[in-house]
Amino acid sequence: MPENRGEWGRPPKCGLQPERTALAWLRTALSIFVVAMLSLRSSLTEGTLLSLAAASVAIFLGIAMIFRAIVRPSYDAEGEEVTTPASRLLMRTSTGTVLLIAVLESIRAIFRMTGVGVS
Amino acid sequence: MGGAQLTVMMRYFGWRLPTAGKTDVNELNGATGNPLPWWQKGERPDYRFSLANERTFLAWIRTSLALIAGGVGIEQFASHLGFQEMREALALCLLFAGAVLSFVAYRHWVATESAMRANADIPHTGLFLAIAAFVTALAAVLALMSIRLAS
Repeated sequence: MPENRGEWGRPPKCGLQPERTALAWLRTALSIFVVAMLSLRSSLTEGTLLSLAAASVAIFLGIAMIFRAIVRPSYDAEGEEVTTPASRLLMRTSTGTVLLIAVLESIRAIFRMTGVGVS
Repeated sequence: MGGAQLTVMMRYFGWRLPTAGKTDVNELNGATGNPLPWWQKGERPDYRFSLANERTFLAWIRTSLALIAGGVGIEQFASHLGFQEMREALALCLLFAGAVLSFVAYRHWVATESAMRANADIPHTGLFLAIAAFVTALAAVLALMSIRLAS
């Protein structure tokens, strides 16, 4: 669609959508860092490896998200196809990581409730 | 985990193994004969809508992260609130809700994207009622725990 090209090769109807989406990824990455810090704090005060693992995974995913928000092309050369394989992969990874953090912290909470020590 | 369970899990997350002759011909990729994955079926929607769908997914993920942060935070910072067992049960509820919500958010993103590609109605979701009910219940429990502290 060459007639649909705006300045710098961006389709004019694209507007600020890619920027808004990139900012949404950044906000989510910041939220992940907050959860990572909380997990890190609980691993330091209680000395549990589970929390440390949750924090490590969260920090890794947060960095990956920021990297992606910066480098991701929001449209291809034709101004088409936004849902790329990398996008689906990152969404699965985000979901999986948040699940993993929740499960690890839940196991730690259960251990703490039942008085079983894990360190 | 056995191979069968792994296959079921991979299919759930969108992978499709070659299954020639099992699917509707219209859904088959002409070159290979494999069924099309959900993200290639139908028509490509306006990418502004795809991006909006992606932001909605991220908003749900942040909600899920907030629930998880609340669960860990209650254990870490609210040692004066209510009594020990109640705090721990509440933290577990929050962590469980966060885990479920993140998974439901991914499923909802897939369902919405598929509906847009098929030019169909966006599927109804009970997510809004569920999260509103959960937050209301959470506020009620926290209020009860605070009252106990004050008396």
